[in-house]
Amino acid sequence: MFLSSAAFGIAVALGYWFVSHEAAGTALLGLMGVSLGAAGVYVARHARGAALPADQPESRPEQLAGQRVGAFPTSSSYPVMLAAGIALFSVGLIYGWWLALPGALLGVAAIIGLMRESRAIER
Amino acid sequence: MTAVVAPAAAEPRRPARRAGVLDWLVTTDHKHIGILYMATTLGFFLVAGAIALVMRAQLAQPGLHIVERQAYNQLFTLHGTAMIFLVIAPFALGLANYLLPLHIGAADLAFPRMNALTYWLLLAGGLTIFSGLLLSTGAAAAGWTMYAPLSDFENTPGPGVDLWIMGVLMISASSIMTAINFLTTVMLFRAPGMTMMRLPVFVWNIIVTSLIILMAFPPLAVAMAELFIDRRLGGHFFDASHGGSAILYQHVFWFFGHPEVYVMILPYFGVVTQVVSTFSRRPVFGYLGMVLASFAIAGLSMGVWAHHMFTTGAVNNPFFSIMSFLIAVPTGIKYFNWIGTMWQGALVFPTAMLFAIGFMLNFLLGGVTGVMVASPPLDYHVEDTYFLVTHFHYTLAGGSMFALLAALYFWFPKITGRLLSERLGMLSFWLTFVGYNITFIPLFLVGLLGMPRRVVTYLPLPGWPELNLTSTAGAGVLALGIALTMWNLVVSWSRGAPAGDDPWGGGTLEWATSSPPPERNFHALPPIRSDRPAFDMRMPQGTPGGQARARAG
Repeated sequence: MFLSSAAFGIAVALGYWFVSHEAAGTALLGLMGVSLGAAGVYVARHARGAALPADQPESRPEQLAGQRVGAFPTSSSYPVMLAAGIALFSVGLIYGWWLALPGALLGVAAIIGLMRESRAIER
Repeated sequence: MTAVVAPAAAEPRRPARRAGVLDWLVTTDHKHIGILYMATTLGFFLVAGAIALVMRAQLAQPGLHIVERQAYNQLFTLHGTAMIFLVIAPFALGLANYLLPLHIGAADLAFPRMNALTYWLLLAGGLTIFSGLLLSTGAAAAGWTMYAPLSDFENTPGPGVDLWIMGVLMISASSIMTAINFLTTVMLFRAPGMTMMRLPVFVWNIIVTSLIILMAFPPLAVAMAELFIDRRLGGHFFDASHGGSAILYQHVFWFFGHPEVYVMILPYFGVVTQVVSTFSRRPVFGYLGMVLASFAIAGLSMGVWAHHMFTTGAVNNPFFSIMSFLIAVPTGIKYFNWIGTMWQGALVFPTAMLFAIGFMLNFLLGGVTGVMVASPPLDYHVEDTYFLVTHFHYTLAGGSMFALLAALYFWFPKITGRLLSERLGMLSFWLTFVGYNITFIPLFLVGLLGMPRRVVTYLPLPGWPELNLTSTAGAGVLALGIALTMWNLVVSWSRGAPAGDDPWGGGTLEWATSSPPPERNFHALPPIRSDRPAFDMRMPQGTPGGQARARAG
């Protein structure tokens, strides 16, 4: 899916350049194709050999029973903290470092908290 | 934090306690976050709608002074910004937040904490944008498109535009993270047997929407950063006197802006497909066509942005015109397939179905007028008139908004466990549909007569006052229709009749669990052998080969 979209992006970029010689649009379309291609290559490499039960048409839910499918935290205070930090920092870019600095500190604290939470989940 | 296992035996039911405010602040459950999204976007919808009513009041007659010029400019800027960035798109993302894991048989999204972050960033962004109203210089007032050079510091000093920029940047980050979350979830967390070609069409549309977001929002972030650098950090990206180009802003902005309108319609195409299929009592006609049409729309949408720039003289008009005409084709395929789904079906018409049909009628007008303005000669005549305004309102309001209302009526029972009043719903539908068309058809006409957009008042040219007055009257009826739905939501939340698992006879997986679903969505999953697993579960004799498959399991 990513790879075919990438090919499309590059094809349209080439067509656009020939038709209009307009730099900004060609750059935008071309980079879109390249980045989709990067995502596609990444997924293709990592998906090699992965056989998800989801992709087997005759598999049943019970076949996955007892297996760990993922970790889903039920609550965390760090997302709202991080959002508040980002908001304060952004508005601080307009009004001054007295607002931006606390925002940045709050954001960094939230990111550290999220990372520590992730480690705890993985264990 | 819990490691989740696929449901095999019934989990012990914990007694539910009422969620307090703090629980809502720290939740990472996709259902709660979806509810937060939908409630918040409905709040912004009412604010932006109220702004529209003030605008319509001001335009009811020529020469009124209900609001003055600079205030009016802030109003149409906030109306557009809110509806686009804070209502139509995020409501769809919030609905997808709620439904996507249910549709694929997952317990939650892939990144629940990032999901929570996206909601709080949306709220923060919206509040930041609106906080401009508290300034003495006012909120941003250069239109939701915020074109340079009007939006540069020389022409619009004051922090209003800067707050707008920061708000939009936060919303961009929110959307991009949501898209990543959705794509990862669909790739990795589908239930056993839920192959890609058994996904509900709604999920496919969300996949395509997420792809578009990934391609389109980074350029928006770039445009915003460049605008901020020009305004506050001595940049000259858009300053022609220093080697920059104002047209560059338009290119980068519309490279985002056009795909954005497909972000705002594709999820709602998915809603209409689900609603129409359920109430026609038939599977989706042309499932593969629907999926491919969505991809075609997304791909083509990335190549048409300069049809917003035909009148600049700075772009290759034929290229963009042809690409824009082409987009009508996959959209037409979708219409054909909706009609095919309804053809000879056992149709029933609850409110959700009425809104879906209203969507189809309104969006048709919007789409057809879109094909008209895709022709540069026609566009030269109507660019920046009310004709154009009405074209995009028919697609976004007559279209997406109607589908949003259909989604509310369809999924409210699943989310809350209670039914909305059908009586109130039908009354609301007719008032909304009739009011909407009385509001906007006169605006098509006054646009063709030459009335420009974004004007605080106008001269009493022939026909203009009568058409505007009619439109304002229609807006009142439309407002009443919307108010009835809001009242319906409020009243039914606590006093609606119990809905049960599946009040509509739906086919997709959310109807195979309780209303509302339990914490991890499913106590037990049915076997998934088609794109209608709940239907298969309840009516094994109704699916081709169903009896044999039900026996084989």
